[in-house]
Amino acid sequence: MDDKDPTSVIKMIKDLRSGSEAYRRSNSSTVSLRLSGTAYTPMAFNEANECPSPKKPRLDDSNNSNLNKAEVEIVPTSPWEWRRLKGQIVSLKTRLSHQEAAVQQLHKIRRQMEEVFEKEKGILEMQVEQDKQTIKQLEVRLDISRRTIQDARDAQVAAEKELFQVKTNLEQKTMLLMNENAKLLENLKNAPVQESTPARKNSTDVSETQLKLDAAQTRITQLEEKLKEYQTKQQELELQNVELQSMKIKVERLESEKALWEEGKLLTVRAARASELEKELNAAKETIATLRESVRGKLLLEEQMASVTKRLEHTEKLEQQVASLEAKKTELSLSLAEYESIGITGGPIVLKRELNRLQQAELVLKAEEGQLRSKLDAALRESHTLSKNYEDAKKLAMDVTVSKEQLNKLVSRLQKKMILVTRERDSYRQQLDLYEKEMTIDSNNAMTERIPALERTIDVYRELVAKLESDLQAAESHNQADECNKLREEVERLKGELEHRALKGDFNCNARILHFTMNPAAIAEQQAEEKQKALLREVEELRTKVAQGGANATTSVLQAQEIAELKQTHEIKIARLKDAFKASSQEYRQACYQLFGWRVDRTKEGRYKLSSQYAESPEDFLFFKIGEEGVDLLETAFSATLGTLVEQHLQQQHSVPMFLNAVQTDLFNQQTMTNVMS
Amino acid sequence: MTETQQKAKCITLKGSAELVKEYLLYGVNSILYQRGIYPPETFEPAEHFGLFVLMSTDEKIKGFLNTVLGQIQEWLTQRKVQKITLVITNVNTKEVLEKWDFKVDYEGQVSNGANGNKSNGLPEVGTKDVKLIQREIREVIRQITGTVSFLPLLDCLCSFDILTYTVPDCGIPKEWDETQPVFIANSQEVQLRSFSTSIHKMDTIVSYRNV
Repeated sequence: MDDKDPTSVIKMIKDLRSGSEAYRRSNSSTVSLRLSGTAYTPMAFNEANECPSPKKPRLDDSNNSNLNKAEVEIVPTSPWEWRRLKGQIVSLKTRLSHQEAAVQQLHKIRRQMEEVFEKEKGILEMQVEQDKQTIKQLEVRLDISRRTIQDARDAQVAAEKELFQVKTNLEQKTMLLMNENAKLLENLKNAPVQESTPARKNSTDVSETQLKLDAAQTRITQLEEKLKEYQTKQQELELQNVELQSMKIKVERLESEKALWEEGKLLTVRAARASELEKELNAAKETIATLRESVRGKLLLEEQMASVTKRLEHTEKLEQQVASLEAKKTELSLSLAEYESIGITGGPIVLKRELNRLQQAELVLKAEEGQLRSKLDAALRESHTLSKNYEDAKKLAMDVTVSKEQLNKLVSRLQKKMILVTRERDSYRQQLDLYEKEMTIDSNNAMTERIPALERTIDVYRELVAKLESDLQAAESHNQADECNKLREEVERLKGELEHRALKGDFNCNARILHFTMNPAAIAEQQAEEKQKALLREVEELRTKVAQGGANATTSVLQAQEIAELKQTHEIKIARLKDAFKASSQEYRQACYQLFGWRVDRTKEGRYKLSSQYAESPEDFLFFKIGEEGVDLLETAFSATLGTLVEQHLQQQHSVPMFLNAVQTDLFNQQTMTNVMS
Repeated sequence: MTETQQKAKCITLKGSAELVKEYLLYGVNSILYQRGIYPPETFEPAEHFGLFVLMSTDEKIKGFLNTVLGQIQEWLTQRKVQKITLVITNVNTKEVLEKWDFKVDYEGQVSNGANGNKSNGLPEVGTKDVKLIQREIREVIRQITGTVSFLPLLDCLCSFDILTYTVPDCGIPKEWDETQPVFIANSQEVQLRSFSTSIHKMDTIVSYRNV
């Protein structure tokens, strides 16, 4: 299987490479699907395995159709190659399936092996348990034997004790008997002396004692026998002990032997199994190697498939491009045809030529246009200047007309003046004529002419008077109407007022106004009055009280007493406070003295007298003046002796506390020195 | 049938006087409450003529109103009242701050009505529906309630009195007294709605000091 694999794959790749684009397009999806199906689950694989038979014809159909199309156009690939490829793919799949089956078989074998192992393990465990049981039985036996040994030992000890007792008893008895014997011997010696009377008795006694002695001897012998027996028993016991020890040793040896045996057994079993397992392992390794190889082959196939699919995609893209290009081509050809139909037959060169020609023409035209433009501009400029000229001329004309009009006016005025002058001249002539006439006419004529004139004036005056009179009358009547109106207005106003008053309520004077005498207002007023009265009374009382206030002795006495009491209490308070203050100040001073070693006395305002705790005499004190500008040391008898310290601390360091400390240490040193001395 | 209908639909002189009296009672109470003459906690609402009117619970006021309005009712039946005036005065200064005039007009046979009634002794009968009259009264009382919006604040201790303007030949009952009419200097008047029982026509006018 494996040796075939690469060649077939290469073949397939070759085929695919030489295969048609159409084939790729039609098959890429299905193939990839199938591969993916086979790659992973056996279920899917089975399905896929069953699939090809129904799928084949369909694919073929599609192929044929595609191929037909393809053959017509581009690549002449034969359908038999395609079928071959298919067959190869199927064979590959079958191989893959075989491999999967083999893998499964191997898995099964492994499982069986594992089962066998399990069984063997069970058997071994059983054997171990049996061994354990035998060990237990042996241990039980050992325990029993130990117990018997213990029992025997106990018995031995008891027997030894008995023996000892018996021995001691017998010794005592022998001692007793010996004593008796001695006594008897003495008695025997004494007997000849006393045989006179108690001879018989003695003989009897002797016989008795003899008997006793015999008995005792027999007993002794018995006891001796017993002793012998016991000794033998003891020997036996020792022997038994020895045996027991040897037995123990034996048991131990047996146990060690047994353990060894078991170990050996286990080892043998393991060895047997190990060989088996090695065999199995080798087999498994082989299978695994084969599987790996097959897997490698599969992976290779997959990679190849992936590359193939990629290529397929690429080719698809190419196809699409081709299609689009074709479309473009057709479009272009159409446009070309159009061009051709228009008449541009020569192709691009002719076109270019034409274009060049056109461009040249355009350039020529442009140049012409420029010329024309310049001409136009010139013309425009000319027209502009002309229009300006025209306007100037117009203005001139206007001025001319205006001056003309003015002149006309002047002419008319002059004419008028001339007319006036002529008239004046005429009037003067008339006057002249009149004067000439007057010089001639008399006075009567004048009177007759004047009277009618005067009469006429009189008439005019009369008319005026009449008119004025009528006016006067009219004026008088108008005044009356005004008055009437005024009066009416007043009446209206008064009526309104009346109404207003009626609304207010004082319209009716002939009414009787009644009210309940005990109405709330009256009651309230009464109460208010009463209250007011009471208040007034109280005010009066208070006033009288206030007036009497100055002379009122009782209250003042009471107040004085109260004041005195208050004063007393306050004085007491002050005194107590003073005491407390004194005590606290004393305490404070004492504390200062004890803590700092200086008794501080305030002699005057701002003057402080400091006397040290360690001063030699009460005359040794320092005077300080504490003012606003600082602390000043005043000259005293004691301070005169502290020249160096003053210089160091006050003049150089300007520190009063340091100075005081220095003085204090100085004094202390002196004091302690004297103390030590004393 | 006709009689019952008449009873249901029409109103007698007595009924009219009673209605007027009730109107006066509610009007006066609501004025007393609205103008704050007595503390509001001494009032409690009661429904009259389909309207919640705050009635005083002060026994003194109740007694006073009962006696005065009883007398007025009597006079109303006798057509002796011309006007009833509720006067609000400042207790301390006795200054009249506000005046509520309830003018009474007698409708129908005014000239011979008094003689005729007295001679016949029969009660006059009005033609107006009681419901309608009550509605009119309700409107007037509503307006009285509304006057608070423009009347000046009474910020001092006040009390009230009821003056009755009667005909001159009216006898003075016991515990009653004759008094002088009251005026408010520089006053402003507002006429409220009027209502009519078809026997008595009531005009309500409020006068107050123009501040």
